[in-house]
Amino acid sequence: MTLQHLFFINAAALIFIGVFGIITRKNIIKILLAINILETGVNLLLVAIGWRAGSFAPIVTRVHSDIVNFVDPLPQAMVLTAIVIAFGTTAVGLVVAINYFRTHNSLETTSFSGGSVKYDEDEVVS
Amino acid sequence: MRANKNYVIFNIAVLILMLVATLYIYKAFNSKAPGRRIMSVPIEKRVSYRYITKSVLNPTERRVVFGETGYEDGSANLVTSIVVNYRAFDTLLEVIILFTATAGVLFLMRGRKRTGYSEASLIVKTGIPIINLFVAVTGIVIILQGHLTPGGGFPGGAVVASGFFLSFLAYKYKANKTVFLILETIGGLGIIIVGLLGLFLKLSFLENFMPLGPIGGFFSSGIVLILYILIGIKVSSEISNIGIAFVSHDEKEGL
Repeated sequence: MTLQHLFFINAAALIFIGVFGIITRKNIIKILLAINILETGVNLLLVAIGWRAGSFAPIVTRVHSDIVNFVDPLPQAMVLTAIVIAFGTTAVGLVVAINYFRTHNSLETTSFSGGSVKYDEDEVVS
Repeated sequence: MRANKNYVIFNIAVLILMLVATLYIYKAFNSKAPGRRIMSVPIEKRVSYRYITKSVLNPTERRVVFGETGYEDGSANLVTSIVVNYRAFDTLLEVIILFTATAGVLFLMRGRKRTGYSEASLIVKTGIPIINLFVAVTGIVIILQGHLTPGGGFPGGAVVASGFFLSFLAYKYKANKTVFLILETIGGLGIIIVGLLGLFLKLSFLENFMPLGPIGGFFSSGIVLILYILIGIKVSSEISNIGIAFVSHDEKEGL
């Protein structure tokens, strides 16, 4: 059991929690939280895949010079992209949640259609 | 939410299904089937080896030494070297994704003004300029040293934007979106112009056209520093705009 296994177990737990939350929760904010937890788990998994035993952070310094004994820097670069996309999707999702609350007066996905809530067609966007 | 019986049964069913899925993934991870697994490949056989030795165009076995010149790219931080030099086109599209998200947020929140504001306490109002000074300095240092230390335009821009966030929450600003939109445009256009300069002065879009310094120096990374400053401006203004959108309320009803 190395540090890498610990990271894998953590990543699996976060992905598990995220997928479970997305499937079973009915509150939009909770679904967005679950999506973010899932993304964190995937990022952790990617970084853990790039880890190598006995290697250093991929930055050339005076101490760590003239070596190739770095962890894989490519997954870390991918994770940077993933974080930015996660931020964008979360921001848009939260705004959609705000607008949904304004029109439906509720954050539950059970009030998507039918139910007792009525809304005007032109209120959905603005 | 009403916790009815069907909902509980549904949750338990999903839990069992996911446990089965986890079991299969675990078995796949511990599979003894022939073939090469990702983690068992030595670093010399990976794509990253070319990035680490900074020899993508001309494969050599020369290792990167601190304080020396003559490499393809001068960033001491190898992740920055990948993100902003080798895969700069990817980063350009990443910035465009962030721009699209901001545009979506501003579109969906259009026509709303900030009306609901509760007065912040004296401690908050006095403390926030002092905190903002540190936040701004930290963010700018993170942006400027992205090629030397962990950090860069994206995290630095987020830190700078968090200072703006604090100001929006504490003071009754009539925050002006136009200033941030202009800054964002400058950042975005600057990245494209730097890319086109690479296309005209060298061979390809976003190629480095500036002289490289010794590894570890401040002016060592060529266009990486310029690109990260532009990305920092763009990201901070975009996130600040999202913050303005989130603190703005409707004139008729508070949320």
